[in-house]
Amino acid sequence: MKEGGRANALLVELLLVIFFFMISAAILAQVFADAKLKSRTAAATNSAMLEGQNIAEDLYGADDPEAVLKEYGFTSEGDVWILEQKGYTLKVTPKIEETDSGTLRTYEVAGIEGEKTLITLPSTRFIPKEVSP
Amino acid sequence: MSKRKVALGPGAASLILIIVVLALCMMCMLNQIGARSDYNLCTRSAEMVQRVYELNAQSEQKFAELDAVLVKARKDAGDMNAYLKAVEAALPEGMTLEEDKVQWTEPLDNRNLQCIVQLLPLEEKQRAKWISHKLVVDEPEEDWEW
Repeated sequence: MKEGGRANALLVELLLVIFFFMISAAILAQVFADAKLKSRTAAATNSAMLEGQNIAEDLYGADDPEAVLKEYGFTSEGDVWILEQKGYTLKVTPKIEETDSGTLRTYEVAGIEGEKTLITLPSTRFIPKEVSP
Repeated sequence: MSKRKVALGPGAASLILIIVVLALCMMCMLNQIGARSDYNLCTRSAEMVQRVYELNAQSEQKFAELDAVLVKARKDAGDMNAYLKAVEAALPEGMTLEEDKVQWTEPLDNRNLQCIVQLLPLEEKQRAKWISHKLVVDEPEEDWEW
């Protein structure tokens, strides 16, 4: 009788231990997943920032920015240029503004992860034109 | 051969559970702290880079405004002195003319983008050229956050 009671108590304890372990494991798994997501976003932001800076600088100095974008592997979708990278997408939106004295050329380089915009770098250059006196 | 009984008394399983869960919690916490600090550092760095690029874009827009003034001044002026006077009179807000150089500052918190543009002689087709375009940090080194 005494042996049986002890075995039962052990069984109940084991069941309770398994139950609590499962609850804690579920909570901890969520925290781990959140941490992994944060690390992934951080890595994507970092890569998008570095790649975006390179592209923005190249576009600033380029005489033919579209050729530069093609060289990077961008594909044109209407006015927007898109490049899929590992974990994020680079999107370049050109904006050309003609002024009396020249052209204000802006290329907005954006790093996007899903719906979230990680970084937006405007690369603006003013190109003066010859004006006869 | 005698079989040895493993004594797993009441409470042993709970004790193991507590140890395992505590170890997991510790790992989880360290992982979360690491990921969060990585994320914050990355976000701050990206924000700063973005703001510097916005400053550069603003400075190019100001340069475009200045160039419009130069075009107008060139039309009216006969010689370099008259040209410089006409430019000085029509300079956009925040710009100053010293000799043949126009300078202005683009502020960003404790940083400033110092821009200097040189006005070129009337005979040249190009009206102005960038001389300096640098980001200066006003904050003393002792106040830097490490």
